[in-house]
Order: sequence, then C-alpha cells, then structure tokens
Amino acid sequence: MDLMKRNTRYLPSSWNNLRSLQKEINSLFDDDFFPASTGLFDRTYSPAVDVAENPSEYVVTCELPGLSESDLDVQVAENVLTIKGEKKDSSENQNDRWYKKESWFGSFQRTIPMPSGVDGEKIQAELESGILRVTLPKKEEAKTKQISVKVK
Amino acid sequence: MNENNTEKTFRRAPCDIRKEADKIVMRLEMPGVDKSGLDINVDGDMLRIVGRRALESEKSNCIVREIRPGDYSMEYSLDKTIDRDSIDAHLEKGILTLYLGISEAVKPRKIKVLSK
Repeated sequence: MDLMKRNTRYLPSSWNNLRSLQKEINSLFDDDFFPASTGLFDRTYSPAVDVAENPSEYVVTCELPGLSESDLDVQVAENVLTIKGEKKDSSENQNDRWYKKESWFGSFQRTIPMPSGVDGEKIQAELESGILRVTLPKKEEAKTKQISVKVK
Repeated sequence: MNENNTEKTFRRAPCDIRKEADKIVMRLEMPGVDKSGLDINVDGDMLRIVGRRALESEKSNCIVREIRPGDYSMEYSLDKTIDRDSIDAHLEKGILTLYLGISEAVKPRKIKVLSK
C-alpha cells in the first residue's frame, strides 16, 4: 500500500485544480469579447444605470438604445425613482432569416432609492441618442457650500 | 476604473444581423454615440465601425456605476455577396443600422424554360 503524504498546511491538491478552474471561468467573464448587457449572467432585460453626484445635483444615466419617449415612464414617488419601459423587438418581419441576435427586448423596470435632500419638484429627464439622463437637483440646504474664509 | 487610466477602452456593441429580400441588415446598439462620434470604413474585405462617446458619468464622481465605460469598435469581414457600393448607414436613438446590399452576381435568378 502506498502511503500518501498528508499536506497539513495546504488544502489537498485537487482543490488547487478547482481553484484554477474557477479562475479560468472568472477570466472568461472579464473578457471584453462578450458584448455588454447580453451575457448569460449579465443584466439581461435590465438596462445599465450610472448614478453620479456633483455639488448641486445627482445625475442618473441609463443606457436605453432604440427607445423613444413614448416607450418610457419615469416616475418619482416618495424617495424612489422608477424608470419603466419597454424595449421593442426590432424585427418587423418574422420571416427574416437571422444570422445573429445579441440584443434583448422586453419590458424592464429599475428602481433607484433617492438620496435625501433631493428637490422632487425640479427633477428633469431627457433622452438623447439612446441615453436617458435624469437630473435630481439638491435642495438648497443640502448643497455643499463653499465659505470663503477672510483673513484679517 | 483606474483614475489615472486616460486611455479609452474599446468593446463590441450588441449586434443583430438579419437578411431581408435583397440586403443584409445589421443593427448595432451603441447608446451615447452620435453622428460626430461615428466612423464607418470599408477597406477591401474589412468593415470597420468605431463609435466614440462622451458619457458624462464616466468622468464624474459615481455612486453607482453599471454602464461599462469605453468606446465601441467592431470589425467584420465582408465576402463576395456584399456589394461594396451599396452600403447605407442610419443612426437613430443610439442604434446604428447598416444596410448591406447583396451583389447582383449572387442573387438567385430564375431561368425561364423555353419550349420549342
């Protein structure tokens, strides 16, 4: 009978194999070869959102290629901003022969909790070349103010 | 993303390709790209599409960042079926649609049978 050396300090070597497999799979998903927002575990049916802050306002940016104003519904209730809509299928004719289809279509909804200090009355939304931009101006008291210090 | 990294990254846009009666229709989703940022080139058998965009949120102080930064760049090789002279492009609402005409030589032709 062969005796196997027991390695007490490290996990058995089969774990290392699994670990390297995990690493390889992870690196597959990091690769830019896959188009964004259509991957298997990506946010399919849910558009990507950025939220940025500057001294006077918050800006919510959302990627919505191909949508027009009538497909979109932007709502503000209490402290939640909701972006709802439907991305329509681009193919009018079902008989067309497809070589490739990577884009998604369907209805989606994103809800974003708004930070405190947003002036709900002054929220504006605009849609330009497939990008929705919602500006949430801060209330006067929430704005960061610079106070100049006078040296006497 | 690394703050010091000023070089922009490129990625592929989601692409749909379908065949219509006498043309191939390509539909590329490139939100944020407008006419001035778009560059389409046909060089021999190579179709190159570059879409540059300037997203405001890429530069600013982001609380949530889901949109993958970077510009779009795709390369496709064209074969004999595509008529190089009948390529049309249309950009609307962040979607680029390319109409690639199929050359006459490969279109199916009906041959009449003449009976004597």
